[in-house]
Amino acid sequence: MNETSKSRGSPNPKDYEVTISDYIDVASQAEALGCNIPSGIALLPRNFQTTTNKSELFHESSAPTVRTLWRQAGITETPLESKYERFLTVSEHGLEVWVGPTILVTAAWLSQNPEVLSVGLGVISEYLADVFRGLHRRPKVSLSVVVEKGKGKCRRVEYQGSVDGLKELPPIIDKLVSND
Amino acid sequence: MTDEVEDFRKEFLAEVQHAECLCFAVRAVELQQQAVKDLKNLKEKARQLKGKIVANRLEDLANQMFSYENALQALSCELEMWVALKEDKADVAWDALVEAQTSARLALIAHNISGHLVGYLKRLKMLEILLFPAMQFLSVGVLVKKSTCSICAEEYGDCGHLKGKVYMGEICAREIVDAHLIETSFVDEPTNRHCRVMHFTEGGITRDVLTWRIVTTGSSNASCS
Repeated sequence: MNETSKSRGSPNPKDYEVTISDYIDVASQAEALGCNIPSGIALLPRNFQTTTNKSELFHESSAPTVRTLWRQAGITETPLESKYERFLTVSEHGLEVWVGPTILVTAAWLSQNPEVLSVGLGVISEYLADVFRGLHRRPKVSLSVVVEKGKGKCRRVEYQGSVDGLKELPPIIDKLVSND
Repeated sequence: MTDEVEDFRKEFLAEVQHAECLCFAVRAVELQQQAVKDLKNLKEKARQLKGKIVANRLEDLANQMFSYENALQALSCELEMWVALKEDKADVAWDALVEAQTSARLALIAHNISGHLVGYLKRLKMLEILLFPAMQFLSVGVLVKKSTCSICAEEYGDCGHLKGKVYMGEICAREIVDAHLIETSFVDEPTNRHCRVMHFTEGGITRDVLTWRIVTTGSSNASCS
């Protein structure tokens, strides 16, 4: 079941759109592909749901930047990749949309680290606000957060909108964890 | 070192004021050409001063100098655009405008001393709209196998540098070392605005997108200059 909530049509520049949908069992798929099973916060490759071959997995081109931002903010990722393994990255959208990675968080990790997702999204939005300076048309941000709720149940929150609107995501995800 | 930067800043302000006075279509072309030379000389002076500053590991000052360098480059390119338009070199004029926009943005990102360039960038956008027709741009999609950091040459993402940020007077870029081309798309906002459709053919007639002249020699329909 998909749900879409919109905040559009107002003069407020924080326009964004959020879509919530089911996502595959991340732990089972990671195991099937021979990847590490993430236990906290991690980046999922774009084609994680569909591929059957680990060598075909690829991240968004923004993934290395996000990992650097998180390292600098002291956020520890539990990646799918092993220490010296690298997935390919794909870049294909010009400056119209900044395509962020798919971020996985487990509900258990979120309950123990309630502020970390906000920090993780905050450093991304600060970085983007800085590098988008002076652009005539600010690129939209597209980014997903997958929440693993236990027993293989995962839900994806897809965000598309302004940089500023990213700060609206953590409360939406908190609500998803507590009410869904 | 601070005194040297302050002296440079005074020279920079005087030169910029003079060059801005020449950034109009009706100004004499020989004055605009001379101003381009003067701006390039001053930019070289900025580059040399930045070298000294970098040697002293003064990052904020180095970033200021990088900002000055790019502000000078932006003005120089705008003047080159005006000169090229008068010389009926539309392609050169477009490339100069794109370079002016890119350099002004780099100056803005590099340091807060160039915060006022937001207004200048708006002016350049207005010039783009008024002086050039709407164009179609292209952007490639690539699967990146290896990329490195332009600052330290390490694998991008392994070091602490971030694409688009300025470190010790140098912009960080992600340099693609090995990639596989997936597709090419038409986009409104490409990463590289030099990547544009240059000619089109309709009813057997090929025209230059900018000049509208009929193109008689065979050439590709899109190009990155």
